[in-house]
Amino acid sequence: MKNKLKDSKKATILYYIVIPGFFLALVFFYVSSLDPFDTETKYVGYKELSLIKLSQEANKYFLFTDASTKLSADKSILNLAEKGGFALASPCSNYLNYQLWTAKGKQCFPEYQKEFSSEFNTQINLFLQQLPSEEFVNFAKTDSNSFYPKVQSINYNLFISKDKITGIADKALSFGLFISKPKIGQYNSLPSFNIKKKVNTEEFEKIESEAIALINKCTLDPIDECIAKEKPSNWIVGSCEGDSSHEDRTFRFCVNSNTEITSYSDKSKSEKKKMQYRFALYFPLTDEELIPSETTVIESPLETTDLSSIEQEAAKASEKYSIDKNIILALIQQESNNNPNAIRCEQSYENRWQDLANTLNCQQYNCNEIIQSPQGNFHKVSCSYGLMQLMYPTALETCPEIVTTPESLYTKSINIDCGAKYLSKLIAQCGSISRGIYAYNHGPANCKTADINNDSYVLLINNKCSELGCSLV
Amino acid sequence: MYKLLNSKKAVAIDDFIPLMFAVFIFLFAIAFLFISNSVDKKDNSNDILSTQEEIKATDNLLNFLQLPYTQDSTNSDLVIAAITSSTADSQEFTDLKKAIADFFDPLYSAEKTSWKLDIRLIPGNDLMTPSNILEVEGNTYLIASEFFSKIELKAKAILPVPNNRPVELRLFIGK
Repeated sequence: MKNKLKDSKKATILYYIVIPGFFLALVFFYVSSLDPFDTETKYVGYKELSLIKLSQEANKYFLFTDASTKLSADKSILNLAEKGGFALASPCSNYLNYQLWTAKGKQCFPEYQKEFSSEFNTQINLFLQQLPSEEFVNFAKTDSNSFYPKVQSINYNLFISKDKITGIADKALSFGLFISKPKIGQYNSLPSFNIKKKVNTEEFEKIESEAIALINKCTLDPIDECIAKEKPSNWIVGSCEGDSSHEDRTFRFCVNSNTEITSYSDKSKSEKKKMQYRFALYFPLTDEELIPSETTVIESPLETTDLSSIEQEAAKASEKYSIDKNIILALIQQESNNNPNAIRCEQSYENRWQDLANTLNCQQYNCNEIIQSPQGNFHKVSCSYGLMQLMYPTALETCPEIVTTPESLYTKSINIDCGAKYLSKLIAQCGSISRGIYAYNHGPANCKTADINNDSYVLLINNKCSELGCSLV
Repeated sequence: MYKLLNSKKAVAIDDFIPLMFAVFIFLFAIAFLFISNSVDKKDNSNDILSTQEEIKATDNLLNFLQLPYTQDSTNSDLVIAAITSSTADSQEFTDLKKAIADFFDPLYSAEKTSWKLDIRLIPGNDLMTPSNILEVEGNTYLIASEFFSKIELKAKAILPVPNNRPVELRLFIGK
């Protein structure tokens, strides 16, 4: 075979071409594995040195964010004081640009920690926007690699203690090193900080308590005389600029603090400035304008339960009070998600509750609902219990023969029986099942005239009822 | 040639001719690549040296900025305080000049290397209005200088300034 091949002229030529061709292919394979045409890898160790530079660039970024946290904290404290404690705006609206803490039938005291977090994150991201993006691609321009694809925003979760503000970012930041497209290195870090709190933020809570006390004291006309007499000495009635005008029972207040903080002018000049708190208050006149309790909500954890026993109790109550069993089940599902141990409490702090506590008929109402805080404020705690989320005073009034204590409402049979009885009473009082359902959630005061077609609670129960095969009509 | 291939002795030699030819090409290709590579990278030692100097200078600059100034503040805070202070002869400016000299002088004087650190607001951002600092102090505020033949920019860092462009610190090292 070999000799025959060699004997052929054509084969000999082929022989000369195939073998060198094979070696040439090997050479090209070797050359491509060496990647000598990778012009971006300029020398041995280039990638390693670039990785060191990557970590330095990331450290520069964190140096910038660290310095920004201190400036953002100072600016947020100052801004919140001047905006009545709100990062954006008060839900109670504002009066002449002073954020309202109270309005008719509404109280909107700011939750300082939450508002501070919001304002702080806004401020720090404004600082991050200052970072010139070209700064972080300079390296890319000169060395054909890239550390910073884009400057990222940071959202910190904040913890404010008496003397410190601690922040931990909700996600890690990544800095990638790209050379010849593939990413050869990545630097990840979860930004965090721990800075000294320069200003006593508890001052805000003190002013809020003073505001509540003033509202409770000044209910009768002439209101302006009462405010002038009862207000704390460092409060100024009117704007911080000296305009003392007010509208009916709505007043602006300016509270001068002794705390100094660094502020910056438009031209970045720093100056020490005394804090000024600005807010507005509406002083309610009548009992209808009393501030409702909508402040703190405590909810019990969910507990799975035996649905068949709930259905049995609902069937018994259905027969007893002539209400569709599925309507009762829909209500239970909405109110407690079938949890017999469900409890939901709301509390409000008003000195008015002190009078209520004094005149309370403890047999009719639960005296435990009035509590006094360590600061001396009276809180009214209203809880709803069990499967149908009955309030104890309501249950006691509706079913005195079976309801003995708030805890008795955790018993499935008692709760469903009493809840169904209360619902049947409301249906009779309000004129229809839908209106009875409306009254079950909002109270019976205006159940005959309310627009139930657009009421979210009635619509929710109606939907659940449809799923279970019943109708509210 | 054809006759040669038909000779028995010649066949043995003949078997090696293509192999030798291929090895020759292989060696030539490798030699070509190594030569061309070494020509391309004849300045590599300078590049490596320059990168090492940049890394060292950046380390020094970052260390300086992270160094505590007081119990609750670092030299970064001092830079911001100096830049936002009302006058150029403020206490913060004086303290900053001293802090810079105290830190960098021992580092570079031992190596007999000249150095310069300047602090300026980053130019070129049209959204920001010019600051008083630039108007009063000039575009570049020279903190310390020791001129020696050639001086090159080796490290940069950026710090925020309220209501303005960020401030840039540039460390120049002499050769």
